[in-house]
Amino acid sequence: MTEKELIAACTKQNRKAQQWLFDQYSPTMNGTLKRYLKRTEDREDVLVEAFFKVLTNIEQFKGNGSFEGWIRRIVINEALMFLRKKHNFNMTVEIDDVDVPWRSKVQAELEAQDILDLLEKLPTGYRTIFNLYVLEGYKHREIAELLDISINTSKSQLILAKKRMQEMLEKVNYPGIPSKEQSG
Amino acid sequence: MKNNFFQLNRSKDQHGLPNQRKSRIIKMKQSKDIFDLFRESKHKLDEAPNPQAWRRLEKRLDTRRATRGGSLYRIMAMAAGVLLLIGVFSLLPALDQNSPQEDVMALNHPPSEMEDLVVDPADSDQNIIKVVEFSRQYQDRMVQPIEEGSSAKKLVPSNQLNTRIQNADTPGDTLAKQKSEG
Repeated sequence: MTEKELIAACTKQNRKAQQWLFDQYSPTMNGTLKRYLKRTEDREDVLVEAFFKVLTNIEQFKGNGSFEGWIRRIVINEALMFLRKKHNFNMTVEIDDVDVPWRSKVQAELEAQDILDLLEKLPTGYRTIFNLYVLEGYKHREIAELLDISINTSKSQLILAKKRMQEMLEKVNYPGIPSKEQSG
Repeated sequence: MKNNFFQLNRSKDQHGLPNQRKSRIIKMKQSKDIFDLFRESKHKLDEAPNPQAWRRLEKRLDTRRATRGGSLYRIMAMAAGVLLLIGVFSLLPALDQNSPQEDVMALNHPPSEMEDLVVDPADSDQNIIKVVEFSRQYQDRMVQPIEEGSSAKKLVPSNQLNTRIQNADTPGDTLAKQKSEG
């Protein structure tokens, strides 16, 4: 089944096609949500709500751009709506004690658990902006609109997030990170 | 640049490298940006959700389908009701001409103030005149109810009143006495 056929079948509320779409895209979207939301229950709630919106508004996808990108945007918007209910992104909380549980084996690449461990150690604001800018490719202007903050807040929180991440990696002697002198 | 780096890295591994060149490669690898580090590894987090997520989603989709079906039925029922009302109101004037509905309504809801009836002398229908007269007398009685008189007085029908007055000369006639007293 091609992507076009899948979309057409889902538009007609074909249940098998809907399940196929969910099975196809939910692992990636679940992985995305792991970077934003710590609790499994919260991730599942957001995932179900986001895919409900995808399947009930699928006729709005006009084929401009990637279908996966369209789904991802809906999933991320849903995650941000969830976070905004609980977190004020204008408030930046600095954490002093960085005690990252780290596996002793030094690796050249980050493993899945390493990513989660590092992201979980960041405050919600840093983590969200880091995710949106670094991993989703949003511009600061877009992040400011999505989180209802100023562009400068977005920029400054990203710098702080990167600094914090670097400190954590240095603390565990992670080899893939340049030293402070090198990074300038 | 990234591809070249990995190609270089692989080729050197295959052929073996002097220590000096090896350390240069490690240095290049170390200077990798923290952002790239995350970008390259982000798909490692992909994982199928719990199977109950699909069951929850399916349940919501079923509910929506049922609600939409129900709302369509409701809309159709409402439309039918409106059409029925329009039909009834359009038929009302036709029914009105053939039935004394207005008169019935008037009887059920009399006006708060009664209008004085005027008898047209030109009206030749004597029955109507009698009805009007009767209703006027009835009204007057309601406005001025019969006074409670003394035990010596006697009530008689009004149509016999004139006869009694003519016989007022007769001694002992109670009515005549009453009149003369009045």
